[in-house]
Amino acid sequence: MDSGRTRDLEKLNALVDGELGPAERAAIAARLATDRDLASAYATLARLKAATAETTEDCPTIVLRRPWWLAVRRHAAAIAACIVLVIGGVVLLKQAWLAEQSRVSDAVEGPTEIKLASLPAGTTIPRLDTAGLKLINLAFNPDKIPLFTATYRGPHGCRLELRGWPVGADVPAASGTSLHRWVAGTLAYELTAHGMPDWRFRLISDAAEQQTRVGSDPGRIDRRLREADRSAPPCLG
Amino acid sequence: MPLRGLFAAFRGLRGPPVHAKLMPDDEGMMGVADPHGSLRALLPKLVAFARVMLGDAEAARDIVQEAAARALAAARVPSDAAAYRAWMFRIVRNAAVDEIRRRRQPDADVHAMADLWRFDDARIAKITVQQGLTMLGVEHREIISLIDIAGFSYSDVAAMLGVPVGTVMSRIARAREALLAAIDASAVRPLKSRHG
Repeated sequence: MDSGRTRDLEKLNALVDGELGPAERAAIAARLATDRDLASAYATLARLKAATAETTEDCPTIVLRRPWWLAVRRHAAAIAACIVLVIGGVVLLKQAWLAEQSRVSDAVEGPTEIKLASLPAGTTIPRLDTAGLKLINLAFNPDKIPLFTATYRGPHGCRLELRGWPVGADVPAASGTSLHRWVAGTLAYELTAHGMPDWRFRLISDAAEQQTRVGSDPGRIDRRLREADRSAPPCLG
Repeated sequence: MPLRGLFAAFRGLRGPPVHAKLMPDDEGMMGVADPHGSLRALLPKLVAFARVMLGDAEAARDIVQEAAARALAAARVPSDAAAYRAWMFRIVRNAAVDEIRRRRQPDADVHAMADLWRFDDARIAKITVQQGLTMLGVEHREIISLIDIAGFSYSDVAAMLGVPVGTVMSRIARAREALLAAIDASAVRPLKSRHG
């Protein structure tokens, strides 16, 4: 086949495939109108192309199934985040539970009150930490009245003072907006607060009193102090 | 959102099958939200392409399934639909070429060229084309299947094969001549239509 026919053949194929630009397409179309061999070849190529395309009709059906690990991998970030959330939640819950157990254990089984050898037997300085009140000062003088003065302070400015003296001594009431006195054993106690809501003071003073009594219920003390700690408002005054 | 992702993962675990019926006019172009969204529509043409390359329908199905699994597992997937299509055909082509090399079968190419100018068009039919394709060499089968079955343009094929567009133009012309010669040489004759 001469080179002219080879070029014609390539042009005809490109025409059948829609690959010719407008100018080339117009030129070959003009020749197709006059050249019978060229027109016959074009028809043959067009028919061949159509028949080749038809061969796709009876291909076997494909059924693909995504491997399960691909689905896992595709959503790995979400799954990992969920696992982290679950593990984190479990860890936090466990920590909270352990902390709770520790607090209960401290409150119920640990030493709640302080006993001092330099004070008369049975003298008890209550611990109010569970209610958020820290013992910040303790002054005692076995030869004077009161025998001791304990000072507690909370995070929101609440301040309590506890005094104790032998039963029978005449001690004037200390200044404060709330006051509770009780007798336990051979000692009289007095707890005072400034600006503390009555409901909270009652809970704390009850817990303090229970700690000074022999055989009191540690669970009750703990419950009182916890309740006093819950939503503790600041002390005004 | 992690929970949405988790639910989607569990949906994926149930593994809805991807069915593909042969649809010759199916372009297989879909949205790119899911990079593999157009895979289902591409499957028939991928199988047809592989079948022409290998001359074996079952082997073609196997390599397309393997190629699809490989594509689904790929770390980087083209996000553009056209690029995705070319990428999938490239994967299948490479797999087919590997399979042909593995088989080490002699290339049964038809070297004779048909007289295109006076060819009896009545001999051109689906059955004779299928028969003729099996008699061609890999290079001819590849160029015909990429253009006439996969529907790629000359420039797409040139990019895929790494050759100039002019080479694609001459290659497809020679391949069709060879196919016509194979049809001419074959004993298979299409049935004449009763309706003329």
